[in-house]
Amino acid sequence: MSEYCIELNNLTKRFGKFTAVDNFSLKLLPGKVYGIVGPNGAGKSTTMAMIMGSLHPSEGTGNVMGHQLGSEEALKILGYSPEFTSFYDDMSCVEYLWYMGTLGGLSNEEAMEKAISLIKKYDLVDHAYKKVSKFSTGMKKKVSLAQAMIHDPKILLLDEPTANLDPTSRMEILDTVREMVQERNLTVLISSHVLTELETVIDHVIMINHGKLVMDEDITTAQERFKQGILVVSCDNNELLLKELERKYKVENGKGTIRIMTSDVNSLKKEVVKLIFENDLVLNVLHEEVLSLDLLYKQALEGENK
Amino acid sequence: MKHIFSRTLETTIKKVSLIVSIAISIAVGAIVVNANKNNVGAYQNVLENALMLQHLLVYFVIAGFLLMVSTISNATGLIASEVHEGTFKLLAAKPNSRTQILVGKILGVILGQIILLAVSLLSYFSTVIIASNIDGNIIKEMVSYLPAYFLYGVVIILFFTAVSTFLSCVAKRKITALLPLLAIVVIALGFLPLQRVMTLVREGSSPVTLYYVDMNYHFGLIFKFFVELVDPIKPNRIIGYLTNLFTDYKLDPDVTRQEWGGRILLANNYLSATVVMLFYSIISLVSYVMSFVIIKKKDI
Repeated sequence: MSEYCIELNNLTKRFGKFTAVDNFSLKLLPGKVYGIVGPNGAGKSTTMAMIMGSLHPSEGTGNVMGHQLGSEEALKILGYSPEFTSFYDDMSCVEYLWYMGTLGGLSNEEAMEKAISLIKKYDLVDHAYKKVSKFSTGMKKKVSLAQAMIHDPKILLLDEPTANLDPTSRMEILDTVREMVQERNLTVLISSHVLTELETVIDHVIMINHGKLVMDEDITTAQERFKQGILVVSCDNNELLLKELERKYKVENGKGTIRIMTSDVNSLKKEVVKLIFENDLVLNVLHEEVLSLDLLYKQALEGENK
Repeated sequence: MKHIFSRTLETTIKKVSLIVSIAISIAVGAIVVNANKNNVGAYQNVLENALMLQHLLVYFVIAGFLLMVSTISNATGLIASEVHEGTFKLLAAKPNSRTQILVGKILGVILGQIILLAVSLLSYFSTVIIASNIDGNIIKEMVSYLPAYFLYGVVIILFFTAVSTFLSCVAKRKITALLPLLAIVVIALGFLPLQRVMTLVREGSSPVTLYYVDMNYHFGLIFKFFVELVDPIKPNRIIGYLTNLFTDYKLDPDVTRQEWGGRILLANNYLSATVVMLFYSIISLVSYVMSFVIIKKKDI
């Protein structure tokens, strides 16, 4: 049996003349959190829908732990929370989760127990008997996560779980995802536009643009690969320091700090310390800037579009 | 599958549907009760008049408009509504095959409609039994047709569920599947009978009929078949009246005689309830099979 829990081989999805996903291959290892990022219309949701079997690939194949995409065996392993979850107008939160639990193969009693425990876990107790369709967006997202978890899947697919949420709700949802991953050693494939938040959760980044794979790397390796080298420095006379550095480097004068770009950070550090010492300046700040996922995303896509 | 079945059954026999079915059936019962107040004379005449009105109202209203419209309305939403509203995505994301989902939904809507039909017929007969002042034996005769009406209703449910489910699998929205079927019901039970009456009034007879495509005639034959199962001898005059009613649709006689004449006469001789039922069974079967094929391949 393959070491990968999800394998996609040359998947292509066309809608008429439009190719949403183009010859896309991917292998996911168990127990890792994968972030799938890309601009609107890049093919993230289409890819997830093909893994779930709700969209049929135009070409290519795939499997979930050896089971064909969309098969009952594959769906037992997968939990899915779509970007826009629709609920039945007549169902309360507890009814909905119970119903989804029974569809997930649980007995009536198991489904009810699981529904109640998830309602407690996601802090929805006060709303358990209210209609889900009347919930706020944040609460709906929680119910959507809960229904994805109700049949104890091994792999979780979360499509834009933080979209359209206020910052507090976003953090709550991501904390929940983090907890789930730690507690159950789940494999998670999560898509989001809020990249700065995603980088606190994911181990691995998958970047997709125009339906094609742009990057498939460990997050630290990716950051390393795109690392331009930015040194942030501040002293009691930034103007003097700026004047000296401008001659050799690309610099940005920020609020009380100077950002210096270089391909050789170590040499730059030595030079900055030397300048500080020679000019008898007082050093306040000196640190290397970590490349954010946002910047990484921008750089990768810029490279792709060139 | 059983949970999808239960859920579909629950939504099919929702409070509003029950109330509407009961109210309309009681109203039909009230019409029959009221008409029978003035129905006096020899026993046989009173019986025939009472049965004729009952057959007509059950055929056109209870097992007609009411049953057809509610079956179409519920079955066209089975897949199209869920896909359009986005709930099908999560239904299909749980470990159930699409075949199981569709089987659960179809069985749920069929059983739900059968319950609604039973409730309607019971409401109608309860009204007649409680409120009518005609001879007890006549009421007994009227009630004896309950199984015939019920079986006819089941045929209607099976046929319209099949076609509606097929359209629901094809269409992107419920309304797209609903409108053409509603139009068929309105034409079959509204336009065609009116056309017949007008033709009769204008010309006094109906020399040529369009049997092959006249759904009202086809359903009339099936209805007649079940009515005759209860008593094949007694309702001769009633059945004669019904047959005329169902076969008086007239085309331009000159054109039709030339183009269709021989063949229509041939069709009239061969179109029996058995042939018609076989034809509608084939349509139903093909619709059910196609629904399963389409839902399996459908992108959601």
